[in-house]
Amino acid sequence: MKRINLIFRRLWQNRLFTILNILGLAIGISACWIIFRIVNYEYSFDKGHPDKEMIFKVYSTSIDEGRSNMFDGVRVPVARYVKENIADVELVAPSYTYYFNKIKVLERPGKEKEVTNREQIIGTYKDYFSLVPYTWLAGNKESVFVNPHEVVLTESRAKVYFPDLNPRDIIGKTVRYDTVSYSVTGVIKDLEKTTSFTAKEFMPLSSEDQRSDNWGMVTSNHKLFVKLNNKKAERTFITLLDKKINEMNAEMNSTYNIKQGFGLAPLDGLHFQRGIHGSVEKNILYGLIGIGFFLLVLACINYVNLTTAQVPIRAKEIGIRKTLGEQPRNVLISFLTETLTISCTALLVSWPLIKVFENLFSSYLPEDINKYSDALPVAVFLILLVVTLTLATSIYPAFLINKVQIADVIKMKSGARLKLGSIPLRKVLIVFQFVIAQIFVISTVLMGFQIRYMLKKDLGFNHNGIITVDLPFLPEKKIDNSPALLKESLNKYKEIQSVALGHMPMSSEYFGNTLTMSTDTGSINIQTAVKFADDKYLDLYNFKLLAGRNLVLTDSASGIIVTKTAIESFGIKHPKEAIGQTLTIMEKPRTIVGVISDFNNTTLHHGFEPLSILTSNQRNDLRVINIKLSRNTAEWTDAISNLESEWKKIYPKNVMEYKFFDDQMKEFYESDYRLSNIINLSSGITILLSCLGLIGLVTISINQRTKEVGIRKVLGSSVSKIVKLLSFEYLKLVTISILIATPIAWWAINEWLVNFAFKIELSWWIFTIPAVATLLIAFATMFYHSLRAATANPVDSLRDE
Amino acid sequence: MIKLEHIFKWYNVGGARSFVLKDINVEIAEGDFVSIMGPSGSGKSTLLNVIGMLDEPDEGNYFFLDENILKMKSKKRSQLFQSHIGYVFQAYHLIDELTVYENIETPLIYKKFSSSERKSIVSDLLDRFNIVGKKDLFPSQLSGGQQQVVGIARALAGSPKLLLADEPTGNLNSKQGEEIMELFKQLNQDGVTIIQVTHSGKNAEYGHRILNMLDGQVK
Repeated sequence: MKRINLIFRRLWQNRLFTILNILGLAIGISACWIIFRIVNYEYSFDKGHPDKEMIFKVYSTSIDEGRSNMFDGVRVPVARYVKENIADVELVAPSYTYYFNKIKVLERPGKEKEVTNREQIIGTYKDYFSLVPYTWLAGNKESVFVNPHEVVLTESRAKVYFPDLNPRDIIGKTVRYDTVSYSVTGVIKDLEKTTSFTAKEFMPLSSEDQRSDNWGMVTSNHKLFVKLNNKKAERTFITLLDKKINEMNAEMNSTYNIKQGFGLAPLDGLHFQRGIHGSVEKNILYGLIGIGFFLLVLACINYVNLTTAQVPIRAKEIGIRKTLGEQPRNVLISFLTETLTISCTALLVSWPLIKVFENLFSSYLPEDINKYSDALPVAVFLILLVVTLTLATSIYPAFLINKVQIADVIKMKSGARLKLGSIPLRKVLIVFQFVIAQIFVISTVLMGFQIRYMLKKDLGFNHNGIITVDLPFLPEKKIDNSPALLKESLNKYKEIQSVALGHMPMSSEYFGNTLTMSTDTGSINIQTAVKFADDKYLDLYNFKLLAGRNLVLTDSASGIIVTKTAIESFGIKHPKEAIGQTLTIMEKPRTIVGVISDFNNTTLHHGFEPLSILTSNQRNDLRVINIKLSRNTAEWTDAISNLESEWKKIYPKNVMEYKFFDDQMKEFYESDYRLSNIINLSSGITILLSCLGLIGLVTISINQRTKEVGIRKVLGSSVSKIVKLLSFEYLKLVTISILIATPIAWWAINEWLVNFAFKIELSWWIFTIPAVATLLIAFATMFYHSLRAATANPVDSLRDE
Repeated sequence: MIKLEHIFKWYNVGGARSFVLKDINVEIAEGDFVSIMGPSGSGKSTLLNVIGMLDEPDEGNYFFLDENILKMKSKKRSQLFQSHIGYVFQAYHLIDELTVYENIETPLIYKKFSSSERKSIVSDLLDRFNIVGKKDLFPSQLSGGQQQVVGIARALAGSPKLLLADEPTGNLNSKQGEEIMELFKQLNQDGVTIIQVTHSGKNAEYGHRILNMLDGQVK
């Protein structure tokens, strides 16, 4: 107790350093805390699932011109086939997602409640409940799924449907999915642990899925888990399935020269399996761990730097204590307790810090992380962290101070300060800090440039002032001409320049298909993305027509527009030569009526691909309305309110959600933004930490040089010369750091830019921007202290000698 | 109690040896009160530091209570000295962050006295030196003389057999200095061996004998 009291007294005396230390460590601890939570959360998936070595998710593969693709989903009949034909499979648990427009709950006879938009409803076999360990609150896994119209609910879902009933009373109640009534035969507890099994409502496979013989189509709605009898069964499982599917699709596969197949992803590690829905890249986690580690190291360096810098000041006290009988062990213990106190205070400070972070940057955190209870591992981690921090940061200063020779200290006059080694070490540490900070700063600036470039680059079409709205289907209408009506009604407004129906140019909306052109030597197939559009489409997006003409509505039967890359893939050099040539697409011959210049269909991570545009008047093909607003941005609000009023007339029941094209482009680059934001944040923190360290060191070195400054002033030095003298020493170190950091950052950024087909050119001047920025920040940090020392009255600093 | 034989201490300055202590042979008996005198740079403080083992000689033998100190392991040595020696410095060297009470208490903590024992010893000392009213003050709130009284009280806390004082009155005015010297005299009469370094002939007279030093040698 006494010791703690003394520690607080000392910390209070050195307020500036205490605050710098606590702040630095708190930042490091907060970063590690958050990163630990994320990593721990991601690694917790499917942990402890019984028999997880034997459980696999089945995915589909296809080999297409030597390129192998993986798809998280299976063809509908696969589940049945596996169940009936493969011997070594113990359990087959399909997870076929079902969607229902309307779910009605019959609470009591005569009283219905409608529940909308419920997700996580799957069709499966009874095996599912043996594969996943559920606790049954009502019903049991043996007795369910006897007849086809049964449903099993998780507790959370049951609460939504029947808020007032307890699980036992829910059994036998009726839920109507669209038109079919299901009776509840089981209620199970939600899984408490993080898991790959997320479904909330279970029903037997629909009879349609049961009977399905559609081996051709695969969608992500159909997933399949199996439990094998033994490890060796893996190979036979895949061989049998591969054989079956290539038999079933023999004709199609030979036409397109594709080989189809299957793969098994073990449940153990499924959460990190690339290509699996909802999985997480392990590399990102490693990156995060790396960032956390670096921030922590920086915080430790700060602490060591500031503490060792104070060693000469404390040396006198330690010397006296030694004459009173203090042993090196005591010194170490007192350093440890002092550091422990600071670390614990930093831990307290980091609590509000991470709360602030979680609120500001909730999008960086996994969605369900706060539902996951991780108090115990986090507590253990934090205790270990604080202990490690304490040990790592106090041993060196204690060692240093134990080297102090008592006789030297005792002889000193009060006020004089001992010169102790380790200044080179501190300089090395400061350089190290700034190297890391500078790498982050350079990355921040360059990633910023690349993202700006991606948003500003000419994509081959104009996207300014364009909004798009997804059009709802009206199933009750036989012939749905609502898109055309809406388009027609909008044309009359002067605030709207033009309106077109069709897939957005840079979006994942398109139909993939094969274009075939017959030539003298045979036929050439290319894969292309087909965009459906109406006749106004090219004008609205301002595509550049290189040859031929725009589409007209009559082209829907026979015309096609292709991009330059497409014709080049067919070996046609000049756009003009392509006009009039015949292509086959979807088994229909079409004439090329126009060639447009290339545009980006996906993000700039990828290069130009062959693209084609078809007109259509089919409702199914035209799902989006594109509206180009007036040039005068002041009229946009009017335009949107007009759009809304027209919308209400045509789609009274549906909510209108419009999006600016520019905003959608940003969404496209969400993962890039995310990465860049993490880097931005890290660079802010590293710079902050490094500057905290710098403030500490500069303060101390200025204190030590007060007398020198006094003498220089007496001898006639100007204030600016003294500021320069005091700042230069450290600016030199920062410059060295920049020189070391730049090539490393150059390499790292190059690695990152490899992912982009369209990217900025790296040139030397790009690196001068972050360099100047860091130097300015460092100088500004030191300026105040240097100036104060330089303007101090020399009489004060020289008097006491 | 103390026997120094052929003690040498030197620094290497540009390849040549510059001697601070040159062949010192001194014997001091228990209960003695010795004053070391000499001009600046004559080696008096160094000699005192060597006696107190704050500094090691480069050559020679040093017997403390008939044990050859220089052949001892440093841990054992520091234990021996801790329990027998108290130091008083010219610049008082109180710990700035600690109160008067805590300053006096510190050596007792290192000697692993229990907290009640510490309390009674410190209270005794505060009483004896008439500084009870000042026990919660910090060194910076005291005058030089008062600080030195605290310094002596602290040095005596571990009830040492030997008190080493390096110019204990050097920073004090003559009246304060006299009081301190009276205190020393009293302590000596109570059985504490005292070795003091001083510039002042008047203060030196308080001792039983005077060692005069010049250029690292005892004259």
